[in-house]
Amino acid sequence: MQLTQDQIQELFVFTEKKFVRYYDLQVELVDHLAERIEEKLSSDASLNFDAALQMIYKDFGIFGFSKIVHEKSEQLRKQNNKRLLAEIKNPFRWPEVIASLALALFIWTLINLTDKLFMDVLFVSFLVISASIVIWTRKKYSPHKKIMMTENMPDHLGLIPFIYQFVFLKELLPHHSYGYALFMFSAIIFQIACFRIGKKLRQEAKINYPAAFA
Amino acid sequence: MQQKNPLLKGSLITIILKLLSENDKMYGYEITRIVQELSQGSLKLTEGALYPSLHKLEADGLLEVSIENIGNRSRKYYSLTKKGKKESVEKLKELNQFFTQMQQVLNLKLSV
Repeated sequence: MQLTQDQIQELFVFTEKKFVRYYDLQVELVDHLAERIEEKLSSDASLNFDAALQMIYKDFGIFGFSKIVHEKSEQLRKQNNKRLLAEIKNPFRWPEVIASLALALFIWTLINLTDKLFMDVLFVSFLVISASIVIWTRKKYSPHKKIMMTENMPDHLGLIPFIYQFVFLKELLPHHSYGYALFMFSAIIFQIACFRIGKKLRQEAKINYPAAFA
Repeated sequence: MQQKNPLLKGSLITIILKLLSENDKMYGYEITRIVQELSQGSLKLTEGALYPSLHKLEADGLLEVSIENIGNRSRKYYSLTKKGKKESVEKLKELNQFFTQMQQVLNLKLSV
């Protein structure tokens, strides 16, 4: 006995009421619940949809779906960080390494030709532009339904100005130093990696969960 | 025997990897059902343990997922990655070694 479209929709509402806010996780849980309900209804004709659903939900234990949601969120965070790390390594691989070397040379030249105030203004502008792009992209390309895999994207934008404030504005490192140049270079490479990983995650989500973007 | 059994809990990852090495792709409830069938109803995986394990294996790069439309709903299938295939062989080896060692220890103790 197959569940109707309305009953499937009821299951989506049910998972949402049980604090599963993410569509990608809802899809998996709805399928699980639906198949088990279909089995129950086939084996016991006296049962109705709601009673079968309640019986099956009990099997998830006293914490219901919350343990699954929490663990999934943790695993996604780890997975996305691993992917980010792999992405950060790409600019040091052939042929991208050529562009990276050119960027390093450009930063070093800029530092030597300008004063600290100019670099500070330039760096803050870079952060503001990066943040604006992240916010704009998220608004424009976000799914209509929440998807956990894209909500947990690593963009760590707050980390760079935090380090900048403590290490450089306090002048722990002189302006014309390799350390200063290295920081600038790392910040740009890191931000590019964040953009790339965000784009990939959105593309994957679109392929796997087109209904969330419809 | 319910899933609360720590022996089953400790072997859950190996069970999932082994089942997926024998099947191209599987979905969550299918794994639960097959384990129950194979153990003739004596082993029951709880959803609260199965899904976090599947998600962990996915995050570790041992499983990959695909979504398919099944009638009026979507289904998430899991399959082994290259890394997952290697890991399944390793995990089974480890489990077999553990069984052998346990047998040796228990037989030795019993004969003392």
